[in-house]
Amino acid sequence: MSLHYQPPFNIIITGIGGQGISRLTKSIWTLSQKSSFSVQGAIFKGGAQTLGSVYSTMRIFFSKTVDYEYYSSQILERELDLLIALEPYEALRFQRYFGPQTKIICSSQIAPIWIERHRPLLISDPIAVLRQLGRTLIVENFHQAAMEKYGDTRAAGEMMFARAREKGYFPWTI
Amino acid sequence: MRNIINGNEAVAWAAMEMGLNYFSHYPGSPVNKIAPAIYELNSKYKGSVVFNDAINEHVATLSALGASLSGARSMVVMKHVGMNIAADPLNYIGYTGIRGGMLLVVGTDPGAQCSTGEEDPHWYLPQINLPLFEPTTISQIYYQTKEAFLLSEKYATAVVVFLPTRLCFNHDSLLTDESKIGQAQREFKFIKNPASYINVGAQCVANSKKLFAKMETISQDVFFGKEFFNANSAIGVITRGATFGHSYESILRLELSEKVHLLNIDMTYPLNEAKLLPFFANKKEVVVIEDQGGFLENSLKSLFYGKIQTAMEGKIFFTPYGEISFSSIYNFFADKFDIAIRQMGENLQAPHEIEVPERLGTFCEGCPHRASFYIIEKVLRAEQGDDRWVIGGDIGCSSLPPQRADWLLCMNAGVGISQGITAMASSQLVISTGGDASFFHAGISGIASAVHNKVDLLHLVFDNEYIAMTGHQASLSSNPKLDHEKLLYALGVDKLFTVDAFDLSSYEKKLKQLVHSRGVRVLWVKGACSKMLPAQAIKRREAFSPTINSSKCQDCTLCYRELQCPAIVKKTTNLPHFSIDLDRCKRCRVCKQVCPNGAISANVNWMKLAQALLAKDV
Repeated sequence: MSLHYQPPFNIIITGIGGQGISRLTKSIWTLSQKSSFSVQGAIFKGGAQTLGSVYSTMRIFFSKTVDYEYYSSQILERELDLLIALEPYEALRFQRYFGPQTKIICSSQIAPIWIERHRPLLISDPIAVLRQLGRTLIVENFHQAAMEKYGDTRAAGEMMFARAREKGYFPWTI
Repeated sequence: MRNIINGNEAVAWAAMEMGLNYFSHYPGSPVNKIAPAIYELNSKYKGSVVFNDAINEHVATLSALGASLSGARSMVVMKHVGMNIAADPLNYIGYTGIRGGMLLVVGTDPGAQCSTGEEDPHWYLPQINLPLFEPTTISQIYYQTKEAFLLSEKYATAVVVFLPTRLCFNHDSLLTDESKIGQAQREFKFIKNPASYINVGAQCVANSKKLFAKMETISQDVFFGKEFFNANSAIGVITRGATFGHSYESILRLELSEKVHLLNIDMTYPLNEAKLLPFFANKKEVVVIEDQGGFLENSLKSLFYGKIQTAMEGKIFFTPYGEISFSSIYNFFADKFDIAIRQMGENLQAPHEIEVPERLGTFCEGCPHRASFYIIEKVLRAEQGDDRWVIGGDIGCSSLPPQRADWLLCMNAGVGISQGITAMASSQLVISTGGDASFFHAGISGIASAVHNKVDLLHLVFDNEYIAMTGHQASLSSNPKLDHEKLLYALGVDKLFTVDAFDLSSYEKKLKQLVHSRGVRVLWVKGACSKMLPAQAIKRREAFSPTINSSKCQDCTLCYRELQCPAIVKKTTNLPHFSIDLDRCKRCRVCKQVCPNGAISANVNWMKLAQALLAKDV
């Protein structure tokens, strides 16, 4: 057990129910563990079967001596390293976690917030707001790309993970 | 075997390795995944667990007690609000004691992250007088669940384990031992013990006395907790549950390990005075950090009143509501020790306050509840052309947005509150609603009471065959032996119809008939959950390809804004302004029935439809 703070690599994956967030989280988790890193984190699914907010947090510890299980499973504000957002509004929901080091990879396909159908949204263009925040940002329609390549939009998360990896957003070979 | 498991699965593994014999539950988040994990382990490793998918927490608790009194190791699982339903038997379990180890696992939900409410069930503990474990990590859940079984049998008491949402959803890699599953052999026999089991009058008081003595013994013998950092520090911090990790990391990160002495208490009821007292010996000040209403702070203050000189506070620093975040604990320590926070983004402007509306989810595509609420509102609007009508709401999937009910509280609040309103505000048209699981949970008593009291009540039961929101546990209505019509008529219901949720014209007609009748009336609305019909859904998908016809669509927005099906999407170009996302659409054909202009066509593939009809799959 070390009495010195050992900073983890902080990841949030966010989107809405049915987009495969749980599967993607477990994939990154398993791959990290195969690299002998420890992982602390949680998957939050909310109450709805589909279309509600879903997110996961992962904190990957590189040090072998860290007592990671005693660390918080939450991430401090401004300390997010990587955000994989399968929906732009959901990306904005985690804005307070963005710091100068934060890299964001976001699918451009917007899922309307259903309760708001009868009234105008305060933010009509979430992608524009995301761009204004001035972080390292990749926005593409990964859902469309997944549909074209694999015939299933649920592969979008894996494609985003691959892009993040290719861009060197993970500080290790994963 | 090393597995990546969550908090629910850690409970299941531990219970199975300890030779669980009887499992009883009423499903509810955040502990809704314990039951499927136990089912899976039992089946995979040939365990011999007897399951009871009880219709409510009261029955679940009593049956687990019965199994324990027969010598079985038993477990009953429920969420925080379920403890209200189980409270009656829970008040007696301490008196009867147990034989086989018995655990009550309760999911708590600070911040109402997966519940209608965030009720703090800690305050039940001094009343029911049972030991309480509050593990803080996945491995602690695993080991303390095992310890709890041993403690239960050693002291012949049921033991409570609280699991907060954050911990239930946390994951970790854990070494489990499947070879222990199904190994323990126990003999089951109920042994008469009237002195403990008959609890009336003086005997009940005698058992109460014995229970207090037993808890006193436990409080002296048992302690689960762990200390960290500098024991000589004058400042102490005490945590329980999820706040431990936030506090531990804050202390490390702010380099306060020399200045703070941290104690995490895992068994928070009863408290062991002798073990805790030394912690306070050299402390000028102790801060108690815990979610919700300050149960631990109150218990410690009560235990050490007049015995220590240490100043102890908690809830003057932290809110008694919501989940206490890592950031708020980190900022507390930084302020307390006057440390300028060295965040990576400290030179940045403060984060913008971007208000993103809460996304609560909605009825899925093809959900029978969408059709129901559309029809209810249509009939009410026609019958009472203003907004004086009242829709009584129930929790579960039918409470999801677009929320059309006038209240959402607890289970069966629809059938209950409606009875008072209809009695006192007779000029208003009232329709109460509730799911089939709610109906069997306690709604049936509401209907019986309405009959007995001659209440003018119109109640709709949404029968989707499952307890859908918590993971599709089978509802009693899916049991072919159950005849809901015979049951309701036997209760004395005056009028009853059963309708298909997806046949809107028949639904509307029957609902109107009931609106114009008097007495206790029930409309049983059948329509299976759309998430549970993959085979039928695939066949329907092949048989129909609905589209919106541009020449007929008048942009009335009824399908988009009133029905609010997620498969109907707004287009940015070309007329009509709306289209159907066939990837999402479940072919329930409700939108086709809703459209007043006949603009939505089903586009039937007759061959596929004939095949599906022959197979009775449409």
